[in-house]
Amino acid sequence: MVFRIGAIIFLSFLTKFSFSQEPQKLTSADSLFISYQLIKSDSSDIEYDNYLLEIFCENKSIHDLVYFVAQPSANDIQHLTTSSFAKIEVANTNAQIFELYGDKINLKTDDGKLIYLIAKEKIKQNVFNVSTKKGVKPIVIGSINKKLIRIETIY
Amino acid sequence: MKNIVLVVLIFFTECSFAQLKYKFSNHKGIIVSYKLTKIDSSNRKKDTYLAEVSAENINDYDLFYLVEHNTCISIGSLLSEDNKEYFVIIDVKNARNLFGGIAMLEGKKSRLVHENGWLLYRIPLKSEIKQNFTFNISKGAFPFITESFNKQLYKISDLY
Repeated sequence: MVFRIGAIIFLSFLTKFSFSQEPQKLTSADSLFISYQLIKSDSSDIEYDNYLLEIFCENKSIHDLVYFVAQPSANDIQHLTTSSFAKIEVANTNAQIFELYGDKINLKTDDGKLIYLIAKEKIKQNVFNVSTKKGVKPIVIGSINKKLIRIETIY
Repeated sequence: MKNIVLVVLIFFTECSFAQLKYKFSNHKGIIVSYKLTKIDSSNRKKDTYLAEVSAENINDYDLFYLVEHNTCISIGSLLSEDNKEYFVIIDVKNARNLFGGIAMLEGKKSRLVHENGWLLYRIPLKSEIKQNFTFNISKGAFPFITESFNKQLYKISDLY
């Protein structure tokens, strides 16, 4: 009997543990998949809980993907956000928005657009800090806002 | 009978000589080859040949090379190899033409530009870039042909 209860407790713990460790699917486009994982990092504050939001971005295709960004002008303060390819938002907080970026490469298009790369068969990980009101679990939503293409298509 | 054999032999020798195909060494998966056809031997001082040269990319990926983009022309830029649009030059060393005996093979200009302003030219995978030219050499001489690559070839990911 004791063994059975022990086994049930152990199994429920294992289920809970594996569930919390499994990244949740957030959004995808073509062969690009974005998932996330939330880890409560601090609950000592009486008003807020702190979470670590891990974002995994994986290009599952066998080809590199790229997207284009217009060359910024000298006083373009918006460029940092326009060069991102995805936006991650924590809906039930005070509008915490995070941007995901590809890697800028040394090539441009002949009309001056910058090229950002999401390398094939790689997982890129980003970690952000999120605070929510005590006991409220963050609701994470994501969107891909750039057209991702194979670099060959612009030769 | 002997005469017939001789005529046949001469005919075969002439034919094989007229349609010879040569391959240069393989450079990063680019095989340069040329075919020579004697098209005129009526002149008593010179023979005229047609050379069909080709560069084949046998890789399963495109290759690229960089061409300097010059907006102003100077003596330095005219002499520089960096702004030339060809990647291989085939030269008939013993050609008697004043401006002949040379073929320059060019890739396709891509829509990509390096950050330093240099243009990217592409040699598409599994494709051949061809050029024909004629040249004259002294009667009975065999064409002495060389090839040289004047560009560094890259995979696209090497340029990221």
